[in-house]
Amino acid sequence: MPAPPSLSELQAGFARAMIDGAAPALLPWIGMRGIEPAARLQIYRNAILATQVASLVTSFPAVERMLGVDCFDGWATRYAAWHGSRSGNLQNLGDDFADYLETQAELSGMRWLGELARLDWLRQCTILAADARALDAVALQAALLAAGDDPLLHLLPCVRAIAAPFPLLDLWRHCESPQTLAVDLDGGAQGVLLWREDGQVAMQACIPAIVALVTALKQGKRVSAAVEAAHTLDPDAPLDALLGPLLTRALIHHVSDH
Amino acid sequence: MPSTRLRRAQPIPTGVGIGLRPAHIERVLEQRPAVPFFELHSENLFCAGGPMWDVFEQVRRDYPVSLHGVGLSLGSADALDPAHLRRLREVIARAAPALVSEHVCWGAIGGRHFNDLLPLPYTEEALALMVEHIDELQHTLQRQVLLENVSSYIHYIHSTMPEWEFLGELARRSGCGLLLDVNNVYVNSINHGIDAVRYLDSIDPAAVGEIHLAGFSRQEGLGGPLLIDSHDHRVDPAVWRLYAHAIERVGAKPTLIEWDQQLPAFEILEDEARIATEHLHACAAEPV
Repeated sequence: MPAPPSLSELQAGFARAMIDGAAPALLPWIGMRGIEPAARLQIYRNAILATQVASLVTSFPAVERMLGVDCFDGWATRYAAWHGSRSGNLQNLGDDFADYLETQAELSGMRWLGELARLDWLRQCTILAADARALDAVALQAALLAAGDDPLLHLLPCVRAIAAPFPLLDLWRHCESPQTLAVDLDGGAQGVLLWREDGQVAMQACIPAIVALVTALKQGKRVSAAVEAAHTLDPDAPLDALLGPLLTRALIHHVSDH
Repeated sequence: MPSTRLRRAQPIPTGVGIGLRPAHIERVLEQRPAVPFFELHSENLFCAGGPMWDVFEQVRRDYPVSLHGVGLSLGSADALDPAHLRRLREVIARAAPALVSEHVCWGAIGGRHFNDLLPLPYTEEALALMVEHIDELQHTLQRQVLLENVSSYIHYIHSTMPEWEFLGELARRSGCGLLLDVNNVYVNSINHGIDAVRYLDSIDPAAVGEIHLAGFSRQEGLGGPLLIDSHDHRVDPAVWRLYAHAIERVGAKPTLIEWDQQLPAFEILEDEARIATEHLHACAAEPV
């Protein structure tokens, strides 16, 4: 019998068994006691996939409702087997699940599926984001006056935004209540603004220009540059329409000049 | 946001706590049941903020809390994940739990995480590596951690020592405490044909800081006996007997009822805790 595997070799072999379902070099080092070593490894493989798929179910509820439990389970299992997890924290699993779904030829008829998955993922990011207090109207006004002509607006950490070439939020809500809410997938582009309110994710449909504005602000761009990014999508969008949701929903954390 | 009120940890009493799962949170916050302590998974608090931390801080105000990690992969041949370790340190600093625990296992290699508690071979190499990683963990957290024995479905034939000896050496060399999972001892005794009583008798009582109890399920049709540590049943009568032996041997210790799958009504968990409490009261070694 050859020398036993080092710990590193053993774990690499175990990993291959979990990923590929076969690890011939590892099998001789696993005791039988009436059960084939391969069957013992398969118990772990099944458990790992079940855990990771359950995590994806939690993170992608709308996609699961849209595909159905069995179909989702199939795609989630394939993703978990192919991509695996890159973190000991399962909350991080699924960051590129949307990209994965979009590249699957069998799902190409569902052109909206990737964006739906992205919205599910952003909802999770929103719920897990850091806590912070928003400026109230008086404090915001004072901060804007103090910050000069072209300030930086720092949004609450929970704020996210996404735009799609179809009514994404309508589709997400349809997944929640398919019997009562219809969706017209040819209804044109729609943005979605997300934030956290009373411990829940709040969402509001918006024009895609607002998504561009929010994205630019989150990248640390000044108001003028963020508005310019919004105007590349909608040159006629007035400033108050662009900033309106951030002000009325109290999503600004602080204002600075640098 | 962190609350300064939470800085001082309440000690874990020598009673029977319950693993707090999301489905029971509302019930616990509304009714404040008489539970000596709750245990949460550390990774559930890896988020920066939001409702999970709100819930934690509400629970933490009224109950001692222990944090039980499942994702650090202390037995990995790779270095510990620095991001995971850093985040754990931040969580522990903010949460100030009475106890911190992890597992004697590995779960990741080459950047691939399996999110499971995978078995180690009980060799000098694995022992030395675990000790090194526990040193790093305890140094980072600036506190002692408890290490839990895991259930397993694989026994490596090149192991050079029994599991209990591995655990004992781990505690002795690293200074960590042990979280003795009696259900896992029983599961492994059936799965690998080891003597559960001998296992318990070999454990240094002074090293044990906490005991876990849970239910298992039986996997049939594989050609041999196999129990799965599924945390989806009541504690088995055989495990209750072993628990009685364990506390007679190591003394009354804080004990936790774990239930993760097919979660029952909270009253069932309270009933399991009541049974364990009766065992603790009956423990002659150290009356509660």
